Amino acid sequence: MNGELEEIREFLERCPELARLPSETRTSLVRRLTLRYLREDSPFPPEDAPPGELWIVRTGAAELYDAQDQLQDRLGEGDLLNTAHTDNLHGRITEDALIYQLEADRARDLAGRDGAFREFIDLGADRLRAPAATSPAGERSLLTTPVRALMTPRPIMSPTSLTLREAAQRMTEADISALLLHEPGKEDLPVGILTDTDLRHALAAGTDPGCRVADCMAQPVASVSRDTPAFDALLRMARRDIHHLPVTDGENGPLVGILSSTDLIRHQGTSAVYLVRDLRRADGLDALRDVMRALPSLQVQLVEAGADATQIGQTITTVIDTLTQCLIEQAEAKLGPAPAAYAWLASGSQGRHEQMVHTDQDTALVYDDAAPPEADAWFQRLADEVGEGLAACGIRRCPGDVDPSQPHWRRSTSDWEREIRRVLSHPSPRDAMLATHYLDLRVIHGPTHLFEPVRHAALEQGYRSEALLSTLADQARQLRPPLGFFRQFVLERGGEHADTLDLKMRGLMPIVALARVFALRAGSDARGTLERLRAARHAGALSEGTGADLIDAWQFIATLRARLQAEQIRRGSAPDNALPPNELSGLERSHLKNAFRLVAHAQKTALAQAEQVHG
Amino acid sequence: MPCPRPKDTPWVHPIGHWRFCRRRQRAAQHAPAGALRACLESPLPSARHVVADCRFLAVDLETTGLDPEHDAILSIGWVAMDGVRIDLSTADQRLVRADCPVPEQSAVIHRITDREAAGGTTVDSALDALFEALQGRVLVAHHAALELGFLEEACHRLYGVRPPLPVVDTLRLAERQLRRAGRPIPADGMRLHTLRGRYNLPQYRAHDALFDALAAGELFAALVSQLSPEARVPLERVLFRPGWLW
Repeated sequence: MNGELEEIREFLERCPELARLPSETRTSLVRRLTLRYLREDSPFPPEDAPPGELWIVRTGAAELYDAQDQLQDRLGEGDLLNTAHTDNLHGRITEDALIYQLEADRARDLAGRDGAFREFIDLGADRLRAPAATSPAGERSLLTTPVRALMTPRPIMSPTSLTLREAAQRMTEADISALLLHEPGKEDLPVGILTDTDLRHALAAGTDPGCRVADCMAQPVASVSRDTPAFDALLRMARRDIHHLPVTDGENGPLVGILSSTDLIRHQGTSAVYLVRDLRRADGLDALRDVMRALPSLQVQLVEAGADATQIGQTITTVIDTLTQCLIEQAEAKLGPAPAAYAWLASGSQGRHEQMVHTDQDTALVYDDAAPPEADAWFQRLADEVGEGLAACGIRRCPGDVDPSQPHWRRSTSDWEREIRRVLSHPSPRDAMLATHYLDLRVIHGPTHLFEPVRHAALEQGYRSEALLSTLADQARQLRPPLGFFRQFVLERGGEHADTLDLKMRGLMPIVALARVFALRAGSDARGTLERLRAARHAGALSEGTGADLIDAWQFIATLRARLQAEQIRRGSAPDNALPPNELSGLERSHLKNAFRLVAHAQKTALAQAEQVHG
Repeated sequence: MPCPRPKDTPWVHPIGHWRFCRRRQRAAQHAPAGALRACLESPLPSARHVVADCRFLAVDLETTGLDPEHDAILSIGWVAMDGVRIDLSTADQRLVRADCPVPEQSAVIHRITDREAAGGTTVDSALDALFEALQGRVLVAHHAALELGFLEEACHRLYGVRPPLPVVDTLRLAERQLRRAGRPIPADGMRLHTLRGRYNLPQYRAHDALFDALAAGELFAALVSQLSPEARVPLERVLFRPGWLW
């Protein structure tokens, strides 16, 4: 009779990375293990160990370093090291350790018999897809709910020939806040909309109640298709500062309903629409600052509603874009009319539509070539005003001086063209940072024609520039994901490592940098990280699998960050990007590690390909 | 104060070793053909070999009491070690069918009831399996005198020989290390589970022969690593009563 090694089997079940194996696989694993006791400071894996072995820490701790002696991973109880995927790593035991070892020939033998184990061993970097797909979004969230589930069906339509009084009577009778209007005879095509607000304005302006409604209605009318996710409708309302959207059956199809911001609010909606409206109505810096105090709770609401990082980023960016526009308008009112046409640009996370509440200003300015030389002083004053306004509203000035009050970031169109061409054609490593900013620039106020053509020309050129690709690839490589981090118990024991993890710098930025390279490689003009990855995958600059991995990894880390910040806000502390690893569940910790592994893997393999292929 | 030994003095005295080999040969001659005889005839590693190159078998016996003459073996668990590596594929245990009812007290400790014990095998075949596994290996046990006593007594009863076995006693080894480190030896501090905590080894819930054998093996690995991380320490440094037995 063979003894039962039940306790060891139970231990393997508790290891996050082994938990997903079928239990029969874990059972056959137990009897193939050998046990070793390694003392503090002895090399790990031991020098006699060939590659292709699996090591599982039962007690104690170990650290792993790469060839440059950079700390790559810390292993604690329940952590696993597959030496088949960690060539060039060396390490040492930091705390006397009892370790289970699966020798290479036994690993091969088990892989030969057990498909689940073979897959596990081959996919050192496990897929994140399944867990990422099941993360927070509840069924009732705005993201998954289509507009048709929330809209008021069969809205009341009236001809534009009504008088204002008749329209008001119909609205009162039906108890509605907005009336859709159609041309006589074309009954499913709304051409205008009359809302409570419009009536109030008309009354205040002393308009004759007997005049035709066509003179007071808002037009044209923006509409959404009935299958649009409610969240997109919400964004559309926030961007246009409107509260009603007619709903059509498909693009430009017949009218089927009307969606109001109240409908959205009722369904765990958010105050994004109201926040944008309040910003637009705010008079003066103090009022804007008061409105912006609600921004943190907006992020909390979005997280609670199950929004993912993309949606939260879009919403927060919309709010901050609006704030910037309001500040620019206020500054213009103070400084007098602009001496020439100009546009305000945002870079960094704002440029990519990926802002969260904890953010800083990354902005620039472009003005028309025809501007007189003395105009520059006016633009500098504008930049100062707006920059200080943003800072007063809680958005810190850029520590790296990406700021139009610096001459470098305030140029005429042709000056920008020269500068961007200079940086993109012969980038020195010092210019890499500039290049990444230039590629993320987006017009948020003013005519887009002042800058977009410049950006397009730059992308055209950068796409073919091997020097640029390799500079950006080098930069992407330097942003190392922390291949591992401290598990709770290691943290507690090794007090000097009581550290946190910077989810932005160590988690997201590596993916953002990779996406930038691949999108450039693919000749895409996308700015958002996910759009870039999708475009690159579509164009073949990135393999299907790696693309999907990076998208999942980004979504997972960014959503985790949004949730972390929401939690900090709820607790009343200032949101930042520092994650104390012990606040993660075992599963989240394991997913996060996997996400980091995927990124490290993409840095190693896919980047090299992107550099090699010539355009 | 123990008297410091000159460096080149061997721990195993040549005359003692010669005697030990003779006793072993004689026992082998008297033992009936089978696993015990094969075990006694298997060549032993030299006492000068380093632990890393020797082979061990960590063993634990659960018994109805502490007196080999009156108490019976309930179960035997073991796991093989190559150097200080424990190979879980060799982990094994045998429950022994008790001839006498299991005393209530020991049943509580080992959770072996009469019924389970009755489902076991005979002492004869349990020992057969043990000696099969022990061939060419040095026995490792915590408080080895107990294991040795029961094994010798059982063999004497069954085969008429008391097999001389080379043994590592983790309790004595731990004691020696603590004493050399100048640490006080606490009362109760030499129990297997207390010692394991000291060396950062996991606490097993199970208290059966197999897990106790495993626990002793792990403790042995931990103790050897204190002497030399790579287990480059001669076997004689870790043997139990080397001067007598070997």
